[in-house]
Amino acid sequence: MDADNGLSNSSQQMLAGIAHELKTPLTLISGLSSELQSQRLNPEQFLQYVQRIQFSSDRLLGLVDTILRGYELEQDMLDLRLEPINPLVVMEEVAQELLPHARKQAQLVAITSKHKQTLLADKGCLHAVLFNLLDNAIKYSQPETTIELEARLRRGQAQLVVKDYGHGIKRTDLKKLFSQFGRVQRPVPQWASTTGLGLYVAKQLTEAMSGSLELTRRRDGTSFLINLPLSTQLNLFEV
Amino acid sequence: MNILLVEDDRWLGDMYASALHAMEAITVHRANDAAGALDVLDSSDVDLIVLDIFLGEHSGVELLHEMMSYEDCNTIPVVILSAVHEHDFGMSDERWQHYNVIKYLYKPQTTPAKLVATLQKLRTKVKR
Repeated sequence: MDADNGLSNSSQQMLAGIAHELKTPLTLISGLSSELQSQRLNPEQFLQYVQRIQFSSDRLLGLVDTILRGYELEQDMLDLRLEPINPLVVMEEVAQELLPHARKQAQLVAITSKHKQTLLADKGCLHAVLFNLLDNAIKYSQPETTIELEARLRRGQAQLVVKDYGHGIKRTDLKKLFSQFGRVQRPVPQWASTTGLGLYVAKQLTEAMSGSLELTRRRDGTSFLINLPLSTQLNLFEV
Repeated sequence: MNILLVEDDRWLGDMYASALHAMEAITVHRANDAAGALDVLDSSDVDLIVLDIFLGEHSGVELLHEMMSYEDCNTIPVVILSAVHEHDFGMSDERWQHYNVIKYLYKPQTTPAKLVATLQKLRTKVKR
């Protein structure tokens, strides 16, 4: 702990990470907005710049949402509203938000579901969990690969899978992966600098919804598995 | 003047390159990592490098270090364009000068127009 300002080293690292993470989308928003005012853009460029400003804003919102939920968890202030949710709807929302991010690296996001089950979750929290896992998968996947999102049934529960084809995770890094500020050393583009908070928040949020978050290492990448209870009271979509 | 823009964020690269293209008598080459930058330096005459520092596998500083060992690259002026403040970087002025860094720009405060204005001012200095 730093006696001068009361912040531990890990908190200082997190703040530095968050500040750095905010800079790329903010630089884009600031730079692209100033270009929009320059009147030298053709209509196609104008539209592209507006879309990139929109996406950069969405990324900022996603990051701020993660930070706030991390704070709520820390302060025991999380207010969960569990309801029956069709996971495909949330998966499609999140994929839509992060698709431009994937396209930067010529990646695709594929969504599949063998069963159309509803699960019991807080929609905002589930969105945050999937946002963080997909964001991570995009960061750590090789260019020109497909990141797979799948909803399926496992052992009487709903299981949402985020499967990447990335560099994989070393066995020695597994322990710190879900810890607060526990960044692991993997090659990652600069725009994807991480706060070290995302996976920790994703795990805590999943557990707060009576679920679990686990991962499986494969030779060609990593799969994150979100296990959540099925909604038995209103299973409209079950086949 | 031939400018090499080394930036690993594609959209930031697009944004700055688009503004640089609008400058008179400028050719912009792009690379998104240190290896790509060396490829461009191998195949083109470059008068100035605009360089990001955090580039993934090898940093911009590693690239500068590598360039010093090539006779045809070790005098090219460099403008750093980084999301890290110069004073947070912890590198001495002498060290930057050793690498031919003539200007350090803090990226979040550098709009494309500001980059163009800076390069216009530096233009006389950078003609090798």
